[in-house]
Amino acid sequence: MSLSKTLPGSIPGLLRPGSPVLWKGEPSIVVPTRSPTSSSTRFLVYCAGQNRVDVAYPKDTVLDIDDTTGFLHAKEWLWRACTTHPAGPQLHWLNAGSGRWFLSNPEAALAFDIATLDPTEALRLACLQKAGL
Amino acid sequence: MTALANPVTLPGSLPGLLRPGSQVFYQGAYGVVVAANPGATQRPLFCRILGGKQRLDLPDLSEVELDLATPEGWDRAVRWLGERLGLPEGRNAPRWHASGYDYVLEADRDITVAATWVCFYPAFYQSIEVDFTSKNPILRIPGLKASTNSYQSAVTGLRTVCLAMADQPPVYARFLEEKQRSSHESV
Repeated sequence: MSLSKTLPGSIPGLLRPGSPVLWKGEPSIVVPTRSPTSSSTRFLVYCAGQNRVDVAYPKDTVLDIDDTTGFLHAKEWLWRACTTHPAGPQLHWLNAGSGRWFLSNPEAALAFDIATLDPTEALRLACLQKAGL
Repeated sequence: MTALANPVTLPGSLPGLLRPGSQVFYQGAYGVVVAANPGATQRPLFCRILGGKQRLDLPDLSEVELDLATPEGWDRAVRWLGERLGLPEGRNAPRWHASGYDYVLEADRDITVAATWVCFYPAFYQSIEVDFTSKNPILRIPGLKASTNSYQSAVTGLRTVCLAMADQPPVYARFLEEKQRSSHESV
């Protein structure tokens, strides 16, 4: 996984059960916790290399947005961070040209000015911008 | 998203459906697949909460179900359907929606072969049309829409089509096979 295709796990609310992450450099998956609110301070990950579930801290993890689920979780986070409108089952990240990207569902759309043609990089930059990083 | 009265799910036994990160039901509990064989012929490794603790299980594929009401489940099912049809994988999953009395699956990118292909699917008792000529390849499945609630209709329609496609070879592969056969015959 390239680090340029990741987002910091410390962004509040970004990681969810099923998120593909790098935890201390190891590919891992965020798994459900008993308390849904605990993920802001720590959460649990399944680490494939060690074949076990472990406690992870947000600062030690990055979300892999090159993975389709990671990409989906980044889109959902960006939508929730920008609007109270429900995301719906399908969110699309679209390049409209002229350095403009849209995050849209069938009923609403958000616009972002990001000067790249790479959809993953554009989403990464939009999320970082929104998170103030 | 409108909540559904009953969860709409797909069986985990559909070849290649489950992948790490998939959120599934198993024995009435909800959890996450943490490791899965890409061919999906083996048991997935599944993590859930049981008795207040995380527990890892290796359920039989026939015992797990993908929840279509979650964004992840919807995204995975639509991608899986796109894979079965040979639509190109984009960053976004193909768009799946009910349109009039049809269902439409629309991919993001151009593909190399331009043709419209209509094939009969016994599972649907009718033909479906795959239009590879448009900028966004489109699959149109007529006459399945039954509900007036568009979300309810889209999700139950997605389930119906995925189940029908489960034992079919990928459409695009069949299209190429037919094309190759007809070019041999003409020589």
